[in-house]
Amino acid sequence: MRRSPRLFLGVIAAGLALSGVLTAEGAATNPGPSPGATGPSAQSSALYCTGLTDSHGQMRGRVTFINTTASPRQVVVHAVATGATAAVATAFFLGPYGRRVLAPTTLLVGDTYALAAQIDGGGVSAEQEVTRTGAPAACTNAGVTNWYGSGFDSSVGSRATLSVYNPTATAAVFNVTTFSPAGFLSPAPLQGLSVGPHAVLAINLGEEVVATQNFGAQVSVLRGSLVVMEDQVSGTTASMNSGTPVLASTGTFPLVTTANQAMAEVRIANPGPAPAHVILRVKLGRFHVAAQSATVAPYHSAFITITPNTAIPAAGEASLTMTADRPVAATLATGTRDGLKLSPLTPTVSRAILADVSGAGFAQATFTNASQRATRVTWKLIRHGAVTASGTSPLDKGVTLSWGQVLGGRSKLRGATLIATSPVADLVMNATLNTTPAGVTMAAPLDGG
Amino acid sequence: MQSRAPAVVAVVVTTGPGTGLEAALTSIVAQDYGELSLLVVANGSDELIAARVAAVAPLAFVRTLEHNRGFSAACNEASLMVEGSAFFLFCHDDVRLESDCVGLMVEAAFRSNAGVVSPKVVQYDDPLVLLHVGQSCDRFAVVRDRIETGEIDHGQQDLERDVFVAPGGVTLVRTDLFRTLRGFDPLISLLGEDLDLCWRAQVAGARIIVAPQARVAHRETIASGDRPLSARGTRHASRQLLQRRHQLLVAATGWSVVRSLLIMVTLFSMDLMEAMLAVVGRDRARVRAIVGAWTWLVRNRRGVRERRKLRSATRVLKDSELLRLQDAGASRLQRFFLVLVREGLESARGILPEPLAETEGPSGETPDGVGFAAAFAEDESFDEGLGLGESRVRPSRFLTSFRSQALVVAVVALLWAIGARNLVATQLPLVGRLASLDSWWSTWRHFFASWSPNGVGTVAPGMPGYGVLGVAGTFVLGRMGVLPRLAMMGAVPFGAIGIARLLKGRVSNRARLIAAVAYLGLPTGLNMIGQSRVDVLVVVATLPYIVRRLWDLLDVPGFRSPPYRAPVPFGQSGWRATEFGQRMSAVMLVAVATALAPSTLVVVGVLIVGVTLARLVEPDENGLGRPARLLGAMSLNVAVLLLPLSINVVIAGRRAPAVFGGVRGPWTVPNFADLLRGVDGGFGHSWWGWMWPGVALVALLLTRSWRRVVATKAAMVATVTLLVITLSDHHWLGSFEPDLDVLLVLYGVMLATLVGLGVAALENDVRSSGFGWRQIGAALSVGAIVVASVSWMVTLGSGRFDLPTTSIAESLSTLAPPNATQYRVLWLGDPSILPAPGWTVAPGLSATTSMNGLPGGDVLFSPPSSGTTDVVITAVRTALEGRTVNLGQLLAPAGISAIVVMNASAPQLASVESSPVRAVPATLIPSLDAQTDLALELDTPSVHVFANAQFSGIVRERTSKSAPWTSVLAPLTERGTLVGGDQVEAGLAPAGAFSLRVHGRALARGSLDGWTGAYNVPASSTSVTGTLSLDQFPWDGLLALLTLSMWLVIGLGFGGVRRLEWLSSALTRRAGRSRGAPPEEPDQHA
Repeated sequence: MRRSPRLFLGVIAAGLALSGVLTAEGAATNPGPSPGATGPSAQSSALYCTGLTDSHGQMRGRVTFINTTASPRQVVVHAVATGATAAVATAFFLGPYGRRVLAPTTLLVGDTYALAAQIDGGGVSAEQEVTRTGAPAACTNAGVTNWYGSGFDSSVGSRATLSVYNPTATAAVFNVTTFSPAGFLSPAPLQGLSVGPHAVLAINLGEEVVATQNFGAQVSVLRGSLVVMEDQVSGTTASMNSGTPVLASTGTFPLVTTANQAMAEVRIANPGPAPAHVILRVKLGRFHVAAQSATVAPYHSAFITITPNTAIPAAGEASLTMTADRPVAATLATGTRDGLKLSPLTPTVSRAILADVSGAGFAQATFTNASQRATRVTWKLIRHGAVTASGTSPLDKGVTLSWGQVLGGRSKLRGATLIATSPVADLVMNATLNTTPAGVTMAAPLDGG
Repeated sequence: MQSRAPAVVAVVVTTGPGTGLEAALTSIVAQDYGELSLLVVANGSDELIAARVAAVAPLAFVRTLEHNRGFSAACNEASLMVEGSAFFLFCHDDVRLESDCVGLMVEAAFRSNAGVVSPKVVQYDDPLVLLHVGQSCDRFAVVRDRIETGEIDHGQQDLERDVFVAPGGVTLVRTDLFRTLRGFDPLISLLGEDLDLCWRAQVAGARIIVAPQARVAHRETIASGDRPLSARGTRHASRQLLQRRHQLLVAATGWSVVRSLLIMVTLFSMDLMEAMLAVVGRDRARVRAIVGAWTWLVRNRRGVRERRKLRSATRVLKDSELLRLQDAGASRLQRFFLVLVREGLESARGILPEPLAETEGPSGETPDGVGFAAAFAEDESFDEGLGLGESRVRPSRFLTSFRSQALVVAVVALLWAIGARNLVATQLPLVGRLASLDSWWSTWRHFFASWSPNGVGTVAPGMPGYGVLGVAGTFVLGRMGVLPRLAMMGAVPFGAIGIARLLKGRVSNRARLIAAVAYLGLPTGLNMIGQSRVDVLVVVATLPYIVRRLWDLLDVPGFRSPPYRAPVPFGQSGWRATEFGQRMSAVMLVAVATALAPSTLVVVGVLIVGVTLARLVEPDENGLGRPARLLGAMSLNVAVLLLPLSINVVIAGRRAPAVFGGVRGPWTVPNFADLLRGVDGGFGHSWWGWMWPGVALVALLLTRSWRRVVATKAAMVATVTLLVITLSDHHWLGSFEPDLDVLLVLYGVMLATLVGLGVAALENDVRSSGFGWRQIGAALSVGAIVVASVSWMVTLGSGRFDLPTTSIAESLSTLAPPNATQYRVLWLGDPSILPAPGWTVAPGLSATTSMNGLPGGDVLFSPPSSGTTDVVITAVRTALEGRTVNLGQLLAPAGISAIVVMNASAPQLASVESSPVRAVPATLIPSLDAQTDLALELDTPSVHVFANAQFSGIVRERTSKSAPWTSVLAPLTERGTLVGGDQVEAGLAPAGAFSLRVHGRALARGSLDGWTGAYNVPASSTSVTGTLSLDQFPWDGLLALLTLSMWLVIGLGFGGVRRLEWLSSALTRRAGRSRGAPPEEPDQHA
């Protein structure tokens, strides 16, 4: 029995087409690297805190370790410091939902400190805080191979320092490049720097970028990986900026003060070879505010003033949405005439933690769904080592909710830890500390892994 | 004045029964030549000869010799009896002369002043077929006929001419010349005496001619084996041996000293090559003939010297003048290569003439159904020998002549040699699967070993690949380093020859040649050389032969031309040609390839499924058959032959599919366009890569009749192959991930087959239809074939098919940690570029280990189950998921001192060398960077090396839990000094297979880290000596022995039993002789 050849050719063509379609459908790209995890399921995790100094460096402070799980954790902390002759280790247990505060200066004598905590599991976060100003910064769980920061100030009365810690057993080599209003600078003394395994290094940028306001910096790690923190002392104010490993074309600053006496500006560095046009859309209650914009020349820096700004009324906290045609590094600088504190763009995560380590509570605390679809946020409120409240809240896309609304009443979250999880990894938590004028100090949300 | 014709004495030498004697004598008596006398020499006493002669030739003289000393001696004896004759006519007793034969020969002798005259010799039974019209000879005394075998006499040779050799049978020799030459050489009893006499006659300045008008029919009973050899000194010699030794004698004595020496050295080299080939082909008779000939020559060296002196006395011609009379070159060598190219190695091995009866088929036909001349004739009808009824339109003669085909083969071989020139002697880098093989002995030891160092150690049965390598190593006399080099250089050409054999008898030689060139030019094989995938190259070499066998078993039309032979007892001659023998051949081929590349078994499945699907869509006359049964039987038999591997697969349980290879990252697999071109590497990406697939597609459209039936099978198999590749590469078949490159080899075989069929379609199918799209397609095909063939030459530039000259692995000199006696290196990367096979950690990431340096011959094969090595794989997976920052600590019990992450197997040096970059999952490097106890030591685009800060040795010791570990025990001996009271941890799995002995006493074993063996050294004030030893019953060795026995039994089946029987009888005879028993008479009728 002989059938038509067309049938056979059809089958062959169909087979080839199926193969082609399946190949095209299944074309896969190598998945991007996932951030280091500190989630509760981890077998072991590490936290790295750097940037605190002794009182001479005006960044004296403490580190608070927070166990966000119901299981106890053993924490082994190795402390190193510039100017110290040896590292010091200490170990302690964190009970379920427990906290432990550690001041590096009590462990060893040095100039700029770094702590490396190894935990026999996951679910532990840490936050460091400059005691004098209450400026917080999150400890990180992994090094990076590229780091960007902006908003440095080395003018008279200010001091801009990079605190660099090597969390690995590999001697790291890196370059530092700066982007100022005057342009690109790659100082020879800041090229090919090395930092030994598990060692810390402090770099005074003011020695190379003299008397310059608002400049950005890039740390390119040639070998190994590093934890970098920007220490900025402006007048009487000191703050830490954890920067970002990747540049951003979009981002949100949800709680920007517009209060009288306050100052707020977005400082932008453009490390790219093309000009970046940056637009800030301002959402402020019922006011319709015109978008603020600036064009940042290649390898330059610029800033956009939000407060005081005649176009923006003093009416509480504004929400800024940044869009740029080129990726840039953006930092929010808030404060008063006495000085500004720096806060980076808040990263989007799926498990966010907000902890009041000062005991004064928050002036404002919000959470935002930055994704393009609605989600449900599951949250837990922890106080005194126990879960005191928990629940699930729906959250539409792009919507920002105040924790006060969720928890009922105007909870200040004093001494509390708030853990929020969402199925989508686009959750943003923000808070401002209780200050006068209001909103000039941003809290540092922690990455829950 | 009365003139008389010169007297001629016909000397007829008869031996034994001489069944043709009467006819020969009758034809001589019937000669119309008046001055002819007849002398019959009965060689060996036979009382009946005189009566028989008297019955037909009453005037003949009869001389009876007591002993049969051969034809030469008999003729010499006769010459002494005769006086006054002008010519001798030396005749065999199996000839028949035409009545005017003698007269014509004498006339020719006078007309040309010839010393020796030969008639035209025709077949006895069929006088229309020529046997000899004189012969020529080369400098090595190899005789060659001037006509082709089976050539029909239609007067084309009827021109009187000079020849070098007058073949025996009937030869007219001038008497004075014969006496000057002192007759025939008595050392040459038969087979070669004619050559020797003619050579000496030529040297003496005599002329030798052929007189074709004189016709003689010759039965050639001696040369054909119809008559046993009975002359003194020849009873235990084969015809081949006699022929060889007499040729040697002629070559050794026929030249001046210097030239003779040169020629003998050359001849020795050629004979040595032939002997090696015969050893490989198990042609015992040939080996014995070659060795016997040379030893005979050495034994008769005194005779050789004497003959040289005698011949110098009669020498007239110089060597250079003699050379001009001879054929140029080496006839035997030329013929070997020609037959090799045309008919394959099996035929080429037997280029020396064998008895005619052996070359005839059961029906009396030659195996191919045509003669030698027809085979090489410029007649396409020979190539289309199947005669399947297509319309015969005279095809293009381009590339149809044997000479042109041989030229193409020679050019392609030369080009390949140029392309592979740098693979011959240069260092092969540790790229792909080029890990240096251990010694022959060690390779066998790995096969029989009870423990192997794969991963952190395993007691899984030794992989049968080691056994196959051991067997292969035996053939290269233990030079194991030769094997990968052979695979690199020879696999693709060997596979191309396989393609030609696959299509043999189905398409024309031209089509076969082009299909073989297509296989050479397809990127699959070239890329595998460039990537050093020796395992895949084995498949490249063997798959065409496997396809041929399987299509035979599947009864694909045209692939089982004759029915199987009747069953023959196992091991006896002909068993291989039976159905069972054929099946077993296929099983053995598949098993050998599967042992080295397990995905071959998947290829077999795909092939069978493809053919079945093709039959479903377009049925052929043979129906569906029983494909499932064949596949099942094939798998079962292969499983039995590869028993250790099968047991490993069973032990692996749900991980059994891992036997077919690691899981490649979806981002590294070829895209659809590359798949269609069969590309997985650097070659074939350019536009010319589309040429061969294009020709194959056109072939599918053009073929008709039985060619279409085969083409549909090939196309369906190719399509199914692509589908399986697509599904597996994107992990839609679960953990079943057959090696992509092995599957691509099948795709390549199908493409080459389609190309061959396409050319056959151009020759037969296109012409039979009117002008239309077929003709346009045909023209495009021809153009594509030409372009693809020419473009292929681009790949030859590097001389090593872009195989890198350096490897990443070998450049890692920092792998050895300080202060440690033993260590392991963990290799991570895409499974296709790892230097040794491993286990899958995640898609695109496999892991393997090596002990104390680079991967070597002990980790060439990995069992499918990772076993205890799971601890390592799980640790890496945990780090990959970002759930640990202490990977170094997790790996420390295994003694892993360094982690090597490979994105490529060789450094990427722009314009110098490159190799495929197959990136590891992007999460891996950041994950390893995040580890607090790993130090990045090397960071390049191709490789990252991390040192483990927690490493402290594979076998380590500590004084207390808080104290640091220190490495103890020396490698290989696993012996060293221990501190009393210390704890020892041995990172060798499984812990239960080892015991630590101190002072000869085994210590109690505990466990640490979940899998390692822990021992507490008894307290002692001094250091003690401890030895860690394997404490395992050799089950694996017994299993290997069983497997090897099975291989041996199957091997004996392919004729080995017969050989053993021969050996046994030979030993019995020898034993009998040594006891003084009378030697057995050889059975002449056997």
